[in-house]
Amino acid sequence: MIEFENLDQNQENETKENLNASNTLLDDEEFKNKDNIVFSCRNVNLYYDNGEKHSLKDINIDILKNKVTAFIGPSGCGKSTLLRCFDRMNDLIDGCKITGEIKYNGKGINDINTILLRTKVGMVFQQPNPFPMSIRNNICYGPRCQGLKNKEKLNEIVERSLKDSALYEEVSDRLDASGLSLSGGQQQRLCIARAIAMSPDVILMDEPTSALDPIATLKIEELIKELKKKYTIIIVTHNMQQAARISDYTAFFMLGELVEFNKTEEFFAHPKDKRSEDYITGRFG
Amino acid sequence: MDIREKINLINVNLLKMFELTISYLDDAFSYYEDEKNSNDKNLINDDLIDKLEREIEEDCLLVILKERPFASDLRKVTGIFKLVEDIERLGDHAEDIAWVSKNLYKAKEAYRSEKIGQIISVALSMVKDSYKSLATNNSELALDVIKRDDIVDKLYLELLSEIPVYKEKYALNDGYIIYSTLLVKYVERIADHASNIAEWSVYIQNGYYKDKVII
Repeated sequence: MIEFENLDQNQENETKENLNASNTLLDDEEFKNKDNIVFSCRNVNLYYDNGEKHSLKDINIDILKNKVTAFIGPSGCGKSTLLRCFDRMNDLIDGCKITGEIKYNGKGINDINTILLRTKVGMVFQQPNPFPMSIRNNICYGPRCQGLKNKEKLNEIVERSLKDSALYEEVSDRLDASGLSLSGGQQQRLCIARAIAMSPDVILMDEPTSALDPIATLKIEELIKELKKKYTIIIVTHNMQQAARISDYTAFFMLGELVEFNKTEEFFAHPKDKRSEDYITGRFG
Repeated sequence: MDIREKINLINVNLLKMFELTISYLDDAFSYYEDEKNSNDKNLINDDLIDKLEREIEEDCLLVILKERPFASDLRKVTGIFKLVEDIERLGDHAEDIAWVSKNLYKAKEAYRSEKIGQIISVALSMVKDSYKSLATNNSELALDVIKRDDIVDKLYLELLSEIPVYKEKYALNDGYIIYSTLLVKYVERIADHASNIAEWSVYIQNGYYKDKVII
């Protein structure tokens, strides 16, 4: 099981001092208002294999509400690992240890009930993974698990979730068909609808379009731009053009280190760190 | 060929085009300086410059389409795509200067204004230094080129007032006055294009275009 070490007050003060030295925290007005920050990471370190493998190194980052933040970097750089920290998916990995502080809406995530946290922080994976049940039941699954039985309310959730995930028009006449009968792109949007059904604040997406064709990818990208009006989105992607197209902020990771975090336009036009420049111009990675 | 090799090739072709344009400008001004030179066979081939411009533009578009460049690569490709047009215009003006110079000799006046010599010298130095700033990634030199445009503008305005005075003073004919005026106008435009090239050279190197960071 995961071992999550809380910081004591002294360590917290130390963290605040380190913050100022970090070049991955932005000084923009939007970041100064704490109400805008959904997740904040301070000196987060993550180790696998009981400390043998140091996978995240002193990560300091703030995630803004109702923005799309893209995590990019070469394979094994730690971007998906950090993403999984936000909904405590790493708890399920034996020998995983995390130090530092991750706050969700100002509260340490290990102080929040895991089920409640995962209700508020939805996840969409690389491969569309609808449950082997009807489209309707895929969406109702989460609310039902939470005890919601009222059919009218469930129907409302189905309609809202499908509309929000831009799937309603395509499936409204066959809600009882199997979720597995949909195309890959539709299945992925169904997974997004399933996440939305829980009324989350944040949607985590781990390479959500890497298994999709260009048209399905475009639909998901358009959907992400719409979704950010209601939700905060963090997306891991290997596709730099995708990050440039859809994200407001981009974080570049390498060897477990958060090398650079900036507004997407600035990051892709004028990266400050040579490693970022080398990566996005194809010099390595 | 990877993106770096493609961009290097575009850069090499750009510098070749620029060198050819500079040699045409040197030829054109040598026609102005000496009637003997103007009788030489006209070696200025503006069509060749136009062809090189189209090739470079096409190569830039292909890199943007296929490679989706970012950061310094994006600045280089888009900067070259913009400034190649100014180099092409310099080629046009080399032809213009050659034509004006020949007509000045046809006007059969021996008079040569010292100030016209000055404006040619400054404009030509701007062109050559804008080339150097591109070839050596020297943004300081590019900024100096941009500053020199003010000198050319000042000389240009002075010459516009002085040329009619020369007409009276040295009893110059109308044709000579018209061609002299056209000459200084072309020289002023040459300095403008050199200044534009220098501005894009700065952008390629550090992202600033006219004192503002642009994407």
